[in-house]
Amino acid sequence: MIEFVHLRKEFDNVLAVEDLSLAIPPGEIFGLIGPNGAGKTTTIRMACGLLAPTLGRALIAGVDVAEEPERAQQNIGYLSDFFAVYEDLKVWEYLDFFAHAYKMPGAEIPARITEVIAQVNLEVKRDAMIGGLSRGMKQRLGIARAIIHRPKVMLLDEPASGLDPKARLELRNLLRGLRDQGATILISSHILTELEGFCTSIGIMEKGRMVRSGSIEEVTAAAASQRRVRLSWAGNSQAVVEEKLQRDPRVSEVSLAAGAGTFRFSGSEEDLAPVLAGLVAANVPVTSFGEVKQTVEQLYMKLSTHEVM
Amino acid sequence: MLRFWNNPEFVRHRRAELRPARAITVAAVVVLMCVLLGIACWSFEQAQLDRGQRAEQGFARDTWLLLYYWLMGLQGVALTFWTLSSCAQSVSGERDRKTWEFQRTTGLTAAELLVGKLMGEPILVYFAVACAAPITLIAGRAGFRWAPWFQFSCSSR
Repeated sequence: MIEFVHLRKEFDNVLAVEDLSLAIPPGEIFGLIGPNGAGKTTTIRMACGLLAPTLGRALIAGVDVAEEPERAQQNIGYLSDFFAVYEDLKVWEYLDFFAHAYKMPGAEIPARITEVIAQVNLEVKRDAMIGGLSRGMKQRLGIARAIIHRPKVMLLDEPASGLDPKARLELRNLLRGLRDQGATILISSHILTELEGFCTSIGIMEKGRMVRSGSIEEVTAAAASQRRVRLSWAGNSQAVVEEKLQRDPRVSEVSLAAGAGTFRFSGSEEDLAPVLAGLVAANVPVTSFGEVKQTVEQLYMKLSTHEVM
Repeated sequence: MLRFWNNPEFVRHRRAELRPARAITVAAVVVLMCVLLGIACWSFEQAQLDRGQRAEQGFARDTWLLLYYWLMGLQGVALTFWTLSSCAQSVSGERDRKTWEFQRTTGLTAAELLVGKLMGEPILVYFAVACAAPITLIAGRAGFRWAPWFQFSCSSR
């Protein structure tokens, strides 16, 4: 659905994006992570036709954005981090303008406006002037604008920037709803907790290059050469647990306290089962046993410092 | 290309700039200015008459004619400069508000955007000129300048 082929962008002598190749299949929520200046915004702007790539191609739903921008843009909903709205229009007038600009059939527009206004919970503000809306409401209106023409692809550049926690939560729920409706979403953010539990895949950019990309599981597996496992048990079995763990050559950094502990494990997820079975066989009353999942933030910190490169 | 009255950019400007309250205010101000200009023209002709610098004959016609010229001149100046300046500021204003990017990501072509901005951005000037137009027409007719048939019918009496 979204495809970048050897995408490169230079501004004078500054290389913003270097040889970026990426394919995001339909229905995927791809989180583009990276510090400021990593090239996330430049990538998104090239994807929606606002910037022409120096080299390479950006394809949206199979359409080359640079060659057929108007056709490609019919499939794109773009949202940026700034609250750019026409403050002298009413909410419904703003959406009506963009619906006509996207050349939607005229008869369909009033019903669609009502539908998206309900979707972003702005029904009570339908006839309000945009200038009087809060930042969160303006961003919700921005989302309504981006989805008014039912795009197949959403390109969101730091959409939660400047929003308060409540508005962020609302935005997250709204994007989840869009995901459930089958939209393919490319979202850039440096607020990593925003992407937690939301993206199906991530890409980490630094200095214009994609450091790592893939599904959360793939990136986690690539980043975690050693799994971190947490376990707990009932009673006084610490000595037995320690002995059993120390015997396994794949176990390291065992840290145990009263009734609980952690260790590092260099085997696969399947290899963990015999470890648990061994503990149970040694009559350790195990109450919990599982891998400590890394957060997107931990993954990013690990990969961005080139620990796994 | 969309017809300009259906052009989304034109419709947006029309909605934003010509809300009923503003339209009524502009119309009232234009009519008031025309009346004041008419009084000024009459005072000027009257002063010339008082000083013996003009004949009494053709007084009314010359007063209308003077008003007509002033109205045409003012409308010409307003249309030229206000339209040019508002069109020139249009794109830079969109860039400042950062709405330009969103317009570029719609399916609007460059030609549609151009027509929408040319017709829509100065819409308040067009409306002001439209409000002054009936008074200009009356002044032109009365001044025997605008309608040759009227001049002919008057002179043939």
